[in-house]
Amino acid sequence: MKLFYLSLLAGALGAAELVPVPLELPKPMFEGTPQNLKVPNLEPPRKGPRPPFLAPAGTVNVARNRPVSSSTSDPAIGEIALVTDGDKAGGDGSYVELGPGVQHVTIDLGAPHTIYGMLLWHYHKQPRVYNDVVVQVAADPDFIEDVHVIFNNDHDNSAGFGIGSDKNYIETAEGKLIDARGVLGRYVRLYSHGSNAAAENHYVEVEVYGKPVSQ
Amino acid sequence: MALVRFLLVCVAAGAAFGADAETLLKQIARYEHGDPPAAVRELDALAYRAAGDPAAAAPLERLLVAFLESDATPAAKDAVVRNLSIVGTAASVPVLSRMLADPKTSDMARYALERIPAPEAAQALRGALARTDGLTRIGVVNTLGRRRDTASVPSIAPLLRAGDPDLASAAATALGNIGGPEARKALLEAPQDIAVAESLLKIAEQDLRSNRRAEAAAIYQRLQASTHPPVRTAALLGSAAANPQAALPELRAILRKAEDAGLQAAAIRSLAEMQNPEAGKLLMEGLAQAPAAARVQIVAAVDDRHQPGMLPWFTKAAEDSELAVRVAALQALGTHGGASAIPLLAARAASAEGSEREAARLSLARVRGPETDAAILSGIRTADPEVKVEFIRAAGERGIRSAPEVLLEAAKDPDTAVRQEAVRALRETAAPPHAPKLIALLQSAGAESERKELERTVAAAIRRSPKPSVESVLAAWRSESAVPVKASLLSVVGMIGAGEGLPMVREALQSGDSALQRAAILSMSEWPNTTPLEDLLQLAKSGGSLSQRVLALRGYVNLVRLPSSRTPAESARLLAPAMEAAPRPEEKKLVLAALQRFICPESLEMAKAAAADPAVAAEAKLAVSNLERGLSYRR
Repeated sequence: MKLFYLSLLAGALGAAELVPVPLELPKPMFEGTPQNLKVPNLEPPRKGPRPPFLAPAGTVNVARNRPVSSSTSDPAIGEIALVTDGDKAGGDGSYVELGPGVQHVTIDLGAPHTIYGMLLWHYHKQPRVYNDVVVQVAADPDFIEDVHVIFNNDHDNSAGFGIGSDKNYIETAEGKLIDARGVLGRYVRLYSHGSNAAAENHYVEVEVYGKPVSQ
Repeated sequence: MALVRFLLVCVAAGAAFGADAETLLKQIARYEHGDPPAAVRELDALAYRAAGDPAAAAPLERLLVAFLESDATPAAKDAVVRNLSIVGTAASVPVLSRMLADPKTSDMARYALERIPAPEAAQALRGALARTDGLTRIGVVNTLGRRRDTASVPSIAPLLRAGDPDLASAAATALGNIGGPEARKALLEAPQDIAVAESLLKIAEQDLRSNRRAEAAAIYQRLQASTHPPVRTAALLGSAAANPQAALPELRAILRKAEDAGLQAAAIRSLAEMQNPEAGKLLMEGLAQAPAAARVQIVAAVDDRHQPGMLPWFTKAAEDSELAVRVAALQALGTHGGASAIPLLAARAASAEGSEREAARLSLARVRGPETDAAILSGIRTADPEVKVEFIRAAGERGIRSAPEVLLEAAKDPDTAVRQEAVRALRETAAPPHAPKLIALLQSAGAESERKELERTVAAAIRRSPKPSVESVLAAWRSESAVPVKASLLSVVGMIGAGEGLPMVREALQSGDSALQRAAILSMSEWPNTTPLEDLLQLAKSGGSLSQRVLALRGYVNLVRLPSSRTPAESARLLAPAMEAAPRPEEKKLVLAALQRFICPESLEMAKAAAADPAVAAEAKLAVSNLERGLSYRR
């Protein structure tokens, strides 16, 4: 489906060549597929390896070391900068913990970008499922106009961004790969609302794959 | 016929005990595995209640004995016989003794006989030794062992030389459980195999607990010649515990040999547990010759001994070629180090990576001693930038109260990393009196990222007061003209949430500068209480731009969602004007999300009304459904 979609996109963009984007994954912290997670609307385990992430040549992680802000001024553990520091290891010291409730982090890419995909890890030391994961891309830091929702698995509108149709998913060392469909924006905001394991919110790393608009 | 006899006993016993057990046993008589176990469980409960009360236990025992003699199903007998282990006495032994000889019922009989304290039970088991064979006999030997029946040793000991290795092994295990001089003698004289060795170890441990060190040492000495490595290891540990001084030469030799890693680990553990100073010396000397895995164990062992004056040794170990040894030594320096370990730890934290860096940082944060804090502060003044960052981090993690003045200087350092770490450390250490200097730093900060870090630090310092005051922030506001700095000051006021700061926020709203107005709205949105609610609502209703109205509405909803002592109806009434003011469906969805948290008829009515708007109908209907469900739980 992704291949199909991106082929159409490539046509629309002037037949840009699609190439596999290399993804660097951290060392897994657990093995196998968890069996007993009682979470509704959970996506079924994938059979076989993840299909390659295809995007126009020159697509790279444009979020690395970019400034990050968050809905809370005082993270309980770690620093907000950990979200884009490139350290994807699952252990202590590699993640930031935000308080309970709906919380968000916002990454400023510094300039408008065409965004093809995102790869994110909330926490992969355990096979957790984070609630109400909503990912938005916008041109303004307040996410008021031209806001693109590229992922929303909030099935009961508890986060307040409308009912989402995406599935809940289990955190692993592979991270969650989200198709951003070539949206334009400078700011990326990610919401969550605790997990099946804890009320707090966590981020190990967020990677945003895209290209500056001028290219 | 037997069932009839059982029923007659039931009638007789029922008069004394009550009809419950009788009824239950009748229900259980045709029980098969897999049937509902309710009656069996009830009978079990009855037996537990009767235990310790002879007046209740005796009639129940009579019923159970009669049941075992009846033609009840084997599954039924199996289910009830365990209750004889609770209420059984010598009176149960004859029937159990008969069952003991039959391989089909032997196991269930042994279950009860093992636990019935009457000597007749042991006698019956001893008698069965001669009458049984094969697995049944092995089971009887096991049961005598678990009863620790000393009188059975003469009967069990010859079985150590039985042609059946399983029977010999069971005999060895039983003798180990029984213990005592006779069992020990029989085991020492028996052909040595793993079962005999394990039993001898068990007896030796008992000897050690009873302070019979010479007897224990003799067994351990014998077992050190075993061909089984785990037995040799256990014997070495035991030998060292029985006679530490005598064991030292052997431990030294093992420490130097690398052929058997398990034995070497046991030797290190033995030395770690000895109070003897010579043991500590042996360990320290062993570091030079031991292989890598053993060196890690040696460092951990020396750490566990808590011997004073170990700093030079750990410092040397921290230079080991093996990463794991260096990590163990750096961790140990956190316990043994003191002020003189601090330069090494800071330098290593700055130069190493991964687990080695983490170990150095952790030890730097926890090392104790009279001059440690002073050494860290001195390092902040004098070290190179990379090492200085580690000293600063340690000052923050240790929460050194005298650190802020030094850290305030470091926060002006030309090196960005030093400045950044100093501001973070000040967040953990600065107090309200430091606020003016911190604000001055904020005012002079060149980069937005530094200003953002300073906003949090200023707020943290002021919040340490029992009555936080934003007077110093207000003073800076009055003298400051740069908009980005004024926006930062507004952010600080919002984080603190002191009412005296609200006029400053309102002044910003009136300023005509859109950046300041935005900062003012965000400041009120972050307020830790509901003081600015009305300001935000007015802005949501009639703010200048869409952006301002949306931000104000989001802030208003955020504050309504803060924990409060309001009733759900009061909160719903606060959300009603927000729904009216919501400029777009996006904001209405936000209000609906908040509304679902306040379960009350007022919220339900609002959600129903919103369902008429096609743009938010799906979310409104979901809210209606959630609220109706919530209200139904409360009825």
